[in-house]
Amino acid sequence: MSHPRRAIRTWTVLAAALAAITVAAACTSTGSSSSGTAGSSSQAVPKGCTAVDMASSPEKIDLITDLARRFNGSSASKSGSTCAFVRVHKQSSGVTEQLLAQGWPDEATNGTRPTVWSPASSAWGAILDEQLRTAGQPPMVPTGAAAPKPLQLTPLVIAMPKPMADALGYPQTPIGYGDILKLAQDPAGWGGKGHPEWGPFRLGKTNPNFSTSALSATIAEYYAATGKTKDLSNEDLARPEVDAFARGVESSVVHYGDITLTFLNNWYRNDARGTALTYASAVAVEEKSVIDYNKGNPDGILDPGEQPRPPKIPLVAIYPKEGTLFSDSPFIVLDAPWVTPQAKDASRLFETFVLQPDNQQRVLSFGFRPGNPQVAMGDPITRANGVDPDQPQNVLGVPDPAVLVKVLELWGQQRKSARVLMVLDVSGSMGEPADNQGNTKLDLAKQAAIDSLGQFKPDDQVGLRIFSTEISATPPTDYVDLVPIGAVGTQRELLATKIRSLTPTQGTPLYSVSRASYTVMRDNFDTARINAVVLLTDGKNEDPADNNLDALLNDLRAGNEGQSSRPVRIFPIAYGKDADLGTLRRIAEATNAAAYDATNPTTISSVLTAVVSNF
Amino acid sequence: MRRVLAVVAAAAMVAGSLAVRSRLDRTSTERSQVLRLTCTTELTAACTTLAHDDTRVRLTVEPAGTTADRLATADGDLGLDGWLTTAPWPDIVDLERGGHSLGRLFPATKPTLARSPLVVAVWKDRAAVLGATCKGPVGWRCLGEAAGAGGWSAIGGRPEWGDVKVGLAPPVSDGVGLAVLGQAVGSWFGRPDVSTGDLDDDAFKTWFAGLVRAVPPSAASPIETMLATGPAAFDAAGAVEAEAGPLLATAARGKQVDLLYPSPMATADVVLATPAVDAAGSSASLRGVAAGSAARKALAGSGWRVDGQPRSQGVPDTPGLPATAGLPSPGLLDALRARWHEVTGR
Repeated sequence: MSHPRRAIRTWTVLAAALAAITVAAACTSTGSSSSGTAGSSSQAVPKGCTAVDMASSPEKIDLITDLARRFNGSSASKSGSTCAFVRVHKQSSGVTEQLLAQGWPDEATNGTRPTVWSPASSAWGAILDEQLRTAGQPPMVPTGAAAPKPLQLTPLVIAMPKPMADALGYPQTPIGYGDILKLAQDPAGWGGKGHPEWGPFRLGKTNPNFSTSALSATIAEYYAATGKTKDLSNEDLARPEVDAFARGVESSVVHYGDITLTFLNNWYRNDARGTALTYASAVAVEEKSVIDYNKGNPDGILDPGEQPRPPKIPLVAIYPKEGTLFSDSPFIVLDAPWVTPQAKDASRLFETFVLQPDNQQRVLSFGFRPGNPQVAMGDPITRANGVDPDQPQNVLGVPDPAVLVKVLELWGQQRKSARVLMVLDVSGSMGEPADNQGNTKLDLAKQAAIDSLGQFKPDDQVGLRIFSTEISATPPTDYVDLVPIGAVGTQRELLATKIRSLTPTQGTPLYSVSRASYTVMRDNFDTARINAVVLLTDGKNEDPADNNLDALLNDLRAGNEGQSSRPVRIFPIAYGKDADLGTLRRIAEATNAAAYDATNPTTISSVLTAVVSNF
Repeated sequence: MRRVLAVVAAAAMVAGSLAVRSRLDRTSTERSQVLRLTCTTELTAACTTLAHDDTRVRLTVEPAGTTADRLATADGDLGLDGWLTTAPWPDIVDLERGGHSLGRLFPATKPTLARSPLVVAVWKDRAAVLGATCKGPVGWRCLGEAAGAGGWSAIGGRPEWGDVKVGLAPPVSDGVGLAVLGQAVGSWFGRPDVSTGDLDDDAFKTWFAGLVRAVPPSAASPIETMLATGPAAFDAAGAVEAEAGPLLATAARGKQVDLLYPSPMATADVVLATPAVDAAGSSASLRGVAAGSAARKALAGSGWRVDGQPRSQGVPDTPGLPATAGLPSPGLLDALRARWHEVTGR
């Protein structure tokens, strides 16, 4: 028996949770933009041809753009009276799903309505159709003969530095989430495996509300806890031992975040300094990322002139023994009102082209597994690149929507708790206008900060510090602690009230407040929590008494390295056009965190949402 | 005499022009005639070829279950002049219509246009283990028992293979999926003439539950998924030879897979079901199209066995086909469809 109201709520919550911050993923300065148009959108469609506008998820945008370029104008783009011209648009899966569910309003703002949609996973198509169904609208994802085919595949894996995988006996000894739990709960950490110099076991895992790979990893974690491989149920999730298992695994997390590239870039930088093994022990990523990393291209994108440099310590893809999930990049020719029969016919030409063996070889060269079974797997999916073409041996079933929602709800309760100091710049420049509605930069930042408090769980600990030169008459004169660190559940209103009362004052003592905030967090380090500073600033350092950036970075780095480190992450937000993003990025990198770009002040709300996804 | 000749000539010209006019009108009528053909998903390739070759054909492709559910309660215009599908789906429709106190749509006899045996594709390493467990040829009864035994390690397979995973297109909607399920159930009873009462047998229910547990939710073509993802998705998949044979012949992993013909052999038979009421003659025209050489070639070219047509790549000459499809009755298949939905919710 279906329950329409509950179903609507279920899908709304799920889709909103999954979609919300794929928008914000665009804001991480260490990653690439996750939405926008990939070059060819403005291309004029040749006379007599039909435009095929394709929304592609970001991780394969280079590949799809390359294939579209080869297709357009080739004989494959013409059949009988049909001539197709493909224009590729980079769009996060969640954002596209939301826009399609709304009937794709306002093309001027949201871009051209797509004829074809290729999200990272077919799960997004299921979410779209369910949302449409509950809204009384027809589905957009075809079934039967026109059902979407996978363009390519890539499984979720646990990436681990090779020496650590060797220490665990992999691949002779299969590894699963249960083994990770044991390692995470062993007080001796890697010492129990003969390597005390590696410190405790540290897991890198993104936030499943933001990241498809994290959602897959969380599902896999719950399956491991139940011993099942399909049909995960709410009853399973409610079992005490499942709760304990999930909390145990999550307790080993370094920090969360919106994109896996943050971990891979930090790992790569640590590798160069010889500290990769103490930054993270394992990170849940897609298989393709392991290949890219081992080739010296951790973010999967080579800028012009960039020479890949393989890391000193390569990663090994561990395929969890319990099973894993695939991202399948379906080619969805939309059954949308704006998609004409001619456009559908034209789209099919591109689908046929992409699935041709020659082009599936290109898919392979980008590190994905071919969707066409005629094409054999080969380089780069080889053991030499840290991956295993004969794995995985088992796939896990995608739970039904109601269970997915429960997974996200429970994860919110079971995830590792956080201890965060919010450090807000209240320098004079924060009083500058930020939008055309009369809001100042500080006005927008205050509202975003207040909104972000809702993302913390009650037992997270959050404090509020503001800074500006000579903000206090007594030392320390550069900052004031308005709310001491305490449980959000008991002081959420106090934090909001204090934030609401902020006004702009003097200059920006960036370095001194960074050091002081870092130091106080390190001195009160809580091993059971993610310890972090969120530093929002709109300017450059303006404190002549403390203007040695290198000294600051050395101090930050020293405290974050080594097996017995007490890592405090600083997540800076470059706010407004005058913010010193370059310096903030270096501060973030020194603490193995990520800097966020809100140089357009109107984006601060989504950026702060992305920042808080780390906790 | 001249006048007579002139009159004769004039009459001949009038008669000739009338004949030409009549012929033109007939051709024009034929040309403008629309033949609404609904095809079952498994026949997409053949139907697309047909529609391409004959511009009168307006093609709709959808799962057999979707068409069946619509027709089971349809009154008035059916929205089709012919339904190219696998038997006995048209009979299932008429059976369900009887339950709704509606009249039959299709004549009892429908000529078989093409056939294809039901097969099981199994990874060779898994097939070796199953062969030892089954103590003979691998069949559905044994496959279901293996699935219910508690994973590969319980039957001598490698522990990392996990559970026994069987690919089966959704029997509720997929023509071949339902036929394969029917063959599997017949295999357990050792005979195709299973009655709905037999389904309440406790031992059967245990076996059926094991089989259901072994079948993960899947798209319409488990064998394609199996070949693309390797053994991770499915250890074995039920299919029709028309699909499996050509796929295995070209797939990179094709040589790692055994194609088995479970005994007793059963077949999916392609039929064109046309409504008994055919006022415009469109159904009759469609029957002509389906019986023509273009249709026969199209079916054979997409892997189906058609008398007098060469086999498609990957479709062997042996084993030969049995005289009948060897499937349980339409009523039993309909009951299985309902049972599957009841147990799995899908």
